Amino acid sequence: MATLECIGLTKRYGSTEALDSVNLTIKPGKITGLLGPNGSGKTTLIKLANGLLTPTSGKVLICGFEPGIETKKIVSYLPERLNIPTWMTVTQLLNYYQDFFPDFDLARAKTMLSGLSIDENMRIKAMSKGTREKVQLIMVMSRRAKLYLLDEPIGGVDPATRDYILNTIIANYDPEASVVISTHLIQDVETVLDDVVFINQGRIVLRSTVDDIREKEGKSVDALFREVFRC
Amino acid sequence: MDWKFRQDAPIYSQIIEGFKLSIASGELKPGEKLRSVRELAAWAGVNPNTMQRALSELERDGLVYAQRTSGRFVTEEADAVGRVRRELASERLNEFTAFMNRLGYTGEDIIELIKEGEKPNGNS
Amino acid sequence: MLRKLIKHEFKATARLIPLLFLIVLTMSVAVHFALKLYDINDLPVVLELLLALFMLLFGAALGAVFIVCIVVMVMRFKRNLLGDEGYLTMTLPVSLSSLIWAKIIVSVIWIVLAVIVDFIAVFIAYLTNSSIVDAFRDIWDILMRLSGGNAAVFIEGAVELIIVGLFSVVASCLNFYAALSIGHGFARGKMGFSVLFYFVLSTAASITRIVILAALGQSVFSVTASMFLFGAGAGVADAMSEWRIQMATLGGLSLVQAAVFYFLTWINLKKRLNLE
Repeated sequence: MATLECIGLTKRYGSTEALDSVNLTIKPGKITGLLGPNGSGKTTLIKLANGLLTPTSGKVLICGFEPGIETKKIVSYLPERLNIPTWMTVTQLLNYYQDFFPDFDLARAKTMLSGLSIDENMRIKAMSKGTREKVQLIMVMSRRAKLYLLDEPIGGVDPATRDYILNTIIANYDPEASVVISTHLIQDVETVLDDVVFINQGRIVLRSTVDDIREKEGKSVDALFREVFRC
Repeated sequence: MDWKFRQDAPIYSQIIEGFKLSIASGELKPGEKLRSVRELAAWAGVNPNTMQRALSELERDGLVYAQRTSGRFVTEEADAVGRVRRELASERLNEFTAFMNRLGYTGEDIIELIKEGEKPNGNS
Repeated sequence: MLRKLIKHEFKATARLIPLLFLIVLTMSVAVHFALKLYDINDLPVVLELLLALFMLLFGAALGAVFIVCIVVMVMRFKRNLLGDEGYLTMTLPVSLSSLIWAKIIVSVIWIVLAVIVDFIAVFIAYLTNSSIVDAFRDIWDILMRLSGGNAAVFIEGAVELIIVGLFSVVASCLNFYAALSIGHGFARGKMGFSVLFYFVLSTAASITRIVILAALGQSVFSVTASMFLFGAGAGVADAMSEWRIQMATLGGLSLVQAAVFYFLTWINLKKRLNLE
């Protein structure tokens, strides 16, 4: 059973077509990179999978279900923007996640927070940007979800934070879950990916694995990407 | 080991090379227990599937063996270490001689150079 | 899930409003003693002016409580559903209806509490002030007369009025929510469109209400008229049924208004949501 399946998925805003008849299947146990330049449709695809947008035509299925309450229980989403309420303390935030997500692993979250020496009584508002982002990541990765959607998780973070984020993704690997990382910073994430999907102007341009690309093309995914998307 | 991956080869095969070097040089001792796949993957900064693939191939090559409940261990077979040492050495030697031939040095020239290099006051 | 949403809704909004309640109640105690001063003659003009100013402030505070409730309600909806927090709220495994209802319920409760607090504040302030107490007593007498001295009638009338009041509070909340939801769907000028649609919706609701009431041969004023019908000697039973019809009509209109606004809110959040 595919974790994520897009069938003829199309999304139009007025006259702009953000996604054009996209067909995609993502299986459990794989970390997939959704790679494309800005405006290629990556975020639109992720929002459709989350139920934040409705398709113009076609379908998106999570473990066979259309986006709704049942899929939201098994999808963990890290958006590009900071989405945690800043007025809360960490303790209140943990309580919030526990209340609404049955798959939230409180122990794991507390371990990760103490690993970063984050005081649970601190308000999100009072934290630095980097710390807030780490807290948000910890919340997302502490869920035992079937599908993790990470939208530009390492954009605009310092190298140490980036390493922390990638290590967290690796450490939380679950063979029954899928991770989709959408990014345009390929060099940094390439070693973490199994599969890659190149997307441009709302269409899937290429679908392969990191190993295949390196073996067959003799270059890294990052190098291939630069070729394919050369301006 | 500080992992720096080259761009032109699959990551799993680079991991295999790295382990072979560690085993051949004795950094990893015969019979030593390896960490779990996930720990190794996090340490190397790679996908656990990739690490798994590398370890599976090392198992196939007989350099590493798995015991169902206890984990993975470096081989204790005396021959195996010697074998991989020779394998790595000869690979590098072939690369080296090909390079030197390109510069115009013959086999004998190479031996001379090496001897000179090993003298106590040898210039490099 | 709805209970949990309501719990978190309270936690999120209970940071300013209870404080305001406390301020108003404290002021009411101060006003109480200030009024006692007022009764003393030969007060220096300055002091009289200050007291007058203080009374003005108190009146303003009573009104401010409501304004703050509304502002908090609007800001909360906007921030929690349509802002960055929306990325989290709208991906919670709960239905859209429960998200909306949690907000309505909590907003109504705050407004009802505001009314109660204002009542208590006025009560405290004017507790022993003879002239004001006399005025209240007169009003009470009128009300008793209107209901023919029958406690059951009075209670029924009061309960119906409260229920109609609640419906109209719900409708007012949804007026804001619908306007915000529609405005959000536009790519540019979201706030502008929200304000515009607030007035469009409330005007449309008012006009519809007036037209329907006129068509039914009633107007808002006839509610008052029927109250005086009581006093004009008509039988309590007749007046009471007149009252019931009035209340049912007004209540029904508010209910329909609320339902329409709810639908507009729901459909816009479902189909036209586009978080930045």
